Amino acid sequence: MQHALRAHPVVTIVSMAVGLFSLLPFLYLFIAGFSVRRVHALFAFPATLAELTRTVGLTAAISVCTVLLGVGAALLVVRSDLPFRRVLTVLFALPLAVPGFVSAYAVYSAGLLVAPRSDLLTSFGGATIVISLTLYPYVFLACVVGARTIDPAQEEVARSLGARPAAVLWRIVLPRLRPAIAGGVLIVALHVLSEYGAMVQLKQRTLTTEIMSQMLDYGDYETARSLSMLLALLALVALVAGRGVSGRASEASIGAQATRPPGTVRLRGARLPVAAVALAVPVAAVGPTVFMTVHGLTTPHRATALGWQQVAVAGANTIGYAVAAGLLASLVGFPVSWWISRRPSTAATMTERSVWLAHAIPAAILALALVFLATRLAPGLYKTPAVLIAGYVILFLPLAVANQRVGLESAFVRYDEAAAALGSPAWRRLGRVSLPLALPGVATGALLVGLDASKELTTTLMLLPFNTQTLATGLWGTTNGQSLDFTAAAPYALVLIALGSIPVYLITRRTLRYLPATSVRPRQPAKSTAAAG
Amino acid sequence: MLEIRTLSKAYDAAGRHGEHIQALDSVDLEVADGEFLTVLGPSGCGKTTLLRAIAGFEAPDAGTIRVAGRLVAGGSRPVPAHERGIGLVPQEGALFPHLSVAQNVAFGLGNLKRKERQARVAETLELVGLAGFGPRRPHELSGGQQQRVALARAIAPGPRIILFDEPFSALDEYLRESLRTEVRGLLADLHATVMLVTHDQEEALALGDRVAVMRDGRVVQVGGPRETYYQPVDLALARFLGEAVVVQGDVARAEGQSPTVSCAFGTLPVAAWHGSCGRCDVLIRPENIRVCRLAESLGGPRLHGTVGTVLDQTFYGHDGVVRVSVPEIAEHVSVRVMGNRPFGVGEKVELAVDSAVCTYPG
Repeated sequence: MQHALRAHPVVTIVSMAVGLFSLLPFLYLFIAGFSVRRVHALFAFPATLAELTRTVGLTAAISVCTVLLGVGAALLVVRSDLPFRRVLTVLFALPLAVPGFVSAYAVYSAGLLVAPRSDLLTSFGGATIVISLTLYPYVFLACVVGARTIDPAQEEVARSLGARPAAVLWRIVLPRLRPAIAGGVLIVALHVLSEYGAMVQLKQRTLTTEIMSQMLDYGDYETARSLSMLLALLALVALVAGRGVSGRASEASIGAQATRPPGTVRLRGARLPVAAVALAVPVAAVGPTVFMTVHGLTTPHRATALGWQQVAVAGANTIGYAVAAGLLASLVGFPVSWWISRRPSTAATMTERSVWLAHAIPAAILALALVFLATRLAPGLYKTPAVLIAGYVILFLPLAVANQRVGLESAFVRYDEAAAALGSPAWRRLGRVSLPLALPGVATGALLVGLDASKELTTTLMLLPFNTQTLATGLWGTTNGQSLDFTAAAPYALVLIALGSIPVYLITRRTLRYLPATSVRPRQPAKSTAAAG
Repeated sequence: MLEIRTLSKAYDAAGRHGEHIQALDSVDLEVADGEFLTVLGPSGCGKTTLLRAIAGFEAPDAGTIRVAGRLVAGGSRPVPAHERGIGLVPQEGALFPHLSVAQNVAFGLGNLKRKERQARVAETLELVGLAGFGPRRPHELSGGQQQRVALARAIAPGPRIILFDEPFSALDEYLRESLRTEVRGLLADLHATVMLVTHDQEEALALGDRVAVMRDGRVVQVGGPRETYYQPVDLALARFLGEAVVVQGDVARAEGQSPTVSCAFGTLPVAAWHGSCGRCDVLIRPENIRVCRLAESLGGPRLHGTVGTVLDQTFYGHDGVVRVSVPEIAEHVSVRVMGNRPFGVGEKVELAVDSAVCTYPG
C-alpha cells in the first residue's frame, strides 16, 4: 500500500546498512567457522556443564534480584511519600556510574580487609547480590517512567471494585509496568551473560570467562567461537523471554488521556525507617567502591606510587572514546529509530532486531570479529581507534536506538503533520519539529552509549591501540598486581566514577521530572474501601 | 475550490490478513470558494481518512483531488502535503510543545521577512482574541486557548482551504458552543473555504453552509443543514441526526396535486417522498408535534390529531420532551415542548403535526 509520507529511500538504505554492520560479528562466526562437535566434546568435562548451569543460574537469579530492587525502588520514589525522594532517586541510579568489575574488585578487596577468611562474596549468592547491586538501575530507571505514566483512573476503578491495595499493585500496577520491567531486565540479562571482569573478580566461572580463557590462555579461537554460539543462543532466549514479559499491554482509552499524577501511598510512621532501608541499597552498591577508593588514596601502606599523570592520560582517552562512541552511535542509530518508529514495516523491524542481536553476543567475540575483519579487509585499521569505536558502536547501538525511539514516539506524528500542513518540507520538519522533540531521547541514548563505552572492559582490552590506556584497562591492569588491596586501582576508580557520575546525573535529572511534586498530596483513598475489599 | 472525484481508499483490517476495510468508497464532494462544509459521520465512517487524503497524509487508492483546479492527488505525481497550501486544525490542537505561541503561529510564515512575520503573528493572534499571548508556552494555555492558537497557526499563512478535524470535541460544552460561534464568525469574515469533520450532529448542522453525511466510506447525503435534518435520505440517517418519531402511513397522490400521507396523526402533506404510493414509514421530528391537554383542547380549537396518554416528561431547562403513548402507534411518541409546560403522568393529551413530513418505503 502506498503511503503519502513514506520512508525516503536514503533512510531505508542507511538503516539497512547499519543493520548489516551490526551483524558483522555473526558474519565472522560463520566465515571463521565454529564446531558443534568441539562444544559437544567440551561438555565431556563436568566443569563445562557446571559453567553453563552457573551462567544460566546467575542470569536468572540476578534478573530476579534486579527486578525486585528496581521495581521496589521505583515504586517507592514515584508512589510513596518517602522523604528525600529526589536525592534518593539520584542515589538509586548512581551504581550505573561504577563498572561492574570495579565494584566487584572493590567488594572483594574490602572483603579481604574485613573478613579475609570468608568466602561469602565469592559464593553464588554473594556474586548474585554484588552484581545485582550494580545492574538494578537499568530496571529502576525504566520503571520510574513506567510507574508515572499509569493512569490513576484504572487504579481507582480497581479500588472501587473492591480490590485491596496489594491486589491493585499485583493486578493493575505490575501488569502496566511489564514493558518497562522487560526492557530493563533484558539489558540486565545480556550484561550478565557477557560479563567478564566482575565474574573473574568474584571467582565465578561462566561461559564468558571460559571463552576468554580459551582465547587468552590457550589461544584456541575455534573453541571460543563455538562456545560463543552457545552464549548467543542463551542471549536469544533472553530476547524472546523479554518479549514474553513485556506482553501486549495495549492501551484502550476513550477521549483524551488523563495526565493526572498517580496517587501516593502514605508511609506515615514508617517514612524514616523505609528511607533508611532504601538508602541501604545504593550504599551497599557503591559504598565498597567509594570506601576502597578513599582508603586506597589515603593509606600510608602503598606498594606503588600514585601515577596521576598516567591516570590523567587514560582519563582523556576514555573521554575521547566515550564521546566519539556516543555521537557516532546516535548518528548511525537515528535513521533506524526513525524508520522503525515512523514507517514500521517488516524490513524496518528486521533491521531493528539485527541491531539488538549484536548486543546478544559476548563483547569478546565482537572484538575478535573486528580484529579478524580488520586484519583481513583493512590491515591498516587494525589496532587503531577507528576499530575500537566501531566496536563500541555495534555493542551499544541498541541503547541509542531504544532511547531515540522513546524520544521519537513522544514527538507525535501529528506534530509532523501539522508542520506539513503549514508548508514545511520534510528536511525542515525534521530539523524544526521532530528532532527538537526527540532530542531528550536522543541525548539519553548518547549519554548511555558514552557511559557504557567508558565502562566497557573486554572490547577495550582487545581493540585498544598499542601503548595506550583507558581508565578501564588501566584499572584492570592493577588487578593482576601482587597486592589485591585496591590501592593501585584507587586513582583510576576515582576518575572513572567521577566521570561516570556526570552522565548518570544528566540521565537521572530527566527522570526526576517523573516524580510527583513534593508539595502535592493527593487525597488518601477512603479507608473503608480497603476494609470492604 | 476543492473538488473530489470517486475517491477510494482501503486498509488492511488490523490483525486479519487479507481483509480490507473500505475507508473511502468512491467519494464525490465539492467545496465552493468561501463555503463552510461540514462532514458528519459516526466514528469509523471514513471522514478522517477523507480529511487526511485532502491534507496529503494518505494517498488514495483511486480517484482525484483538485485544489483550485490543480490536481493534488490521483495524478502521476501526488503533491506532497507541504506544497498543497491547505491549512489544518487537528484534534486537540497539536501545538508544537517546544515552541512558544508566537513561534507556533509563525511556523508557516518562513517566506516572510522578520518584520512582516512578526506583524502577521500579532495580527493573527489578535484576530483569535489572544493578543499578547505570543511569549507563552502551549502547556500554559487552557484547552480553548490552545485551539485558538491552532486556528491562528492554520490561518496565518493564508491557506486556500482550512481543514478542521473535530476541533471542538475535547472542550467542555459551554466553551465548545461559544468558541464554535466565534470561529464561525471569524472564518466568515475571512471568507475562508472550510471543511470540518465531526461526529457531533449539532455541530455539523450549526456550522455548515452545507452538510455532507458519511456512512461506511460513502457520502450518503449532501445538502443544507435544514434540508439534511428535515429531509434525510433514509430513516437510519434521520435517527442519527436527531430524535425521530416514525409512524406507519399510506401515501396517496391525487392527479395534479402534491402527495399526502394518512397516518395516526391524520392526513399530512408530504415534503419529501421516497418510494412509491402505498404503505410507508412517516418521519416526524418531535418539535413538529404540538401537544395540548385534552381538557383544554375540548374547550379551545381542536388540533385534529390523535389522543394519547402521557408516560413521562424529561426536563432539559430550555425545553423538555414528553413521551406519550398512543394506541394506534407501536412506538412511544416523543414531543418537544417548552420547558415551562408541565404535564402530569397519565394525563390525556391531544397530539397534532404542524408541518409537512417525509415518507420512506415501509
